[in-house]
Amino acid sequence: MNSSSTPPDPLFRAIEFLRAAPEPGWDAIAGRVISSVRTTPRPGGHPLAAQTPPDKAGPGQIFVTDHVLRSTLAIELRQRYLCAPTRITFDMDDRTKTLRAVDIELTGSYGTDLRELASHIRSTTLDVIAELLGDTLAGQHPVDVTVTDVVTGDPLGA
Amino acid sequence: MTTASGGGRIAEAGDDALLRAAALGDREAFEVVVHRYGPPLHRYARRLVANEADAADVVQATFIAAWRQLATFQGRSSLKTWLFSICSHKITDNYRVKRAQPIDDQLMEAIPAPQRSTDPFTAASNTAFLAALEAALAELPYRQRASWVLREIESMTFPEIGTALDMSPDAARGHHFRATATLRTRLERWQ
Repeated sequence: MNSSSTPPDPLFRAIEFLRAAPEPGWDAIAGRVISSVRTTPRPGGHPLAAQTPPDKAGPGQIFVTDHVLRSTLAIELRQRYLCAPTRITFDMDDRTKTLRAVDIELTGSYGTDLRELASHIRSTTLDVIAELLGDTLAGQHPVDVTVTDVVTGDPLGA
Repeated sequence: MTTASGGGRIAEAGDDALLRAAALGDREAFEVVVHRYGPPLHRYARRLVANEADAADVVQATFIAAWRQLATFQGRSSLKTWLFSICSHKITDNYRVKRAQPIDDQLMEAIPAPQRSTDPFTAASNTAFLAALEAALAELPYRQRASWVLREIESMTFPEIGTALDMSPDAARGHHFRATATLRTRLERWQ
C-alpha cells in the first residue's frame, strides 16, 4: 500500500514481511481468550418459565433466559438448514414469564423451496422450545418465519 | 434443497454473517471471529502497550467487550474496524501505553556494506532491519504509531483508522504521513 509519501524500498519490503508474518504471541493466548469469552454472559436477558417435568416436581420454578433460547435456536437452524437467521424475537407474557410467540427472520438461498424451509424451521423451533421450556406452545401457531433476503449460494457466505 | 451440513460452514462464513450469528448469541460464530481477528489485534496491541502481558490482556478484554456489546452493535463500521476501535479504547483507557522511546542511534546503523547483498533487506540484514524498524516505531508518539500500524500492517483505510482511533480521516492521514516521514529518516542509512 503506498500513500503519497512512498516509503523507501527496504521499508516497503519490511511492511510486506510484517503483514505476512505469523503472530506467535497469539497462539500462546488464544485458549485463554476463548475460555474467557465462553464464561462471559451477555448482559440483560429475560427469564422464561420452563415446565417442570411431572415426575421431578418440587418446590421452586425453573427459568431459562431468552438469551439461551435465542442462541440455541440460532445455532440449531444455522446448522440444519441452508439459511442464516438474522433476527429472532420472542413475545413474552411479562406477568407469567411465559413464551407466547416466536418471530424468526432469515436469509435464504436461491433454489431453496422457501415454504418447505419455513415449515422445517417452524417444526425445529417448536422442538427446541419443547426441549428447553417444555411443551409450552403446544396446539398454537406461534412461530412466524420471514425470509427477508435470498442470496446465491450459502447465506453464510461460505 | 433446504438442509445443510451446518457445522463446518461457519468457519468459512463471511464477516457479516458471523456478526449476525454472533449477535444472536451463536458462540461458535463468535469463536470464528476470535480466531480470525485475534492475531491482527494482538499484533496491533503489542506494538502499542508497554509489555506482552498487557497486550494479551488488551486482546482478551477486547473480545469480552465485543461479545457483550454485539447485540447492540449498529453495524456502522465493519467488524474489523469495530474490533480495532474497541481495542484502541481498551489500550488508552486501561493500560500503560508504550511511550515514545528515544533509541540508541547505533540501532539505526546499517550493517557494513560488504555484508550486504544487492538487496539489503533480503540478505543477512533482515533481522537487524526489522529490529531497527520496530525500534523506530517505538519512538513514535502513540497516535502516529497506531495510525502507521493500522495503515501499513493491517491495510486499513484512513476513514477506518479514523473510526478506530476516534479522529477524522484527515487527522489519521496526517499522523500516518508524519510517522512515515520519521521512519524514513530514521532508517535512511539502510537505503
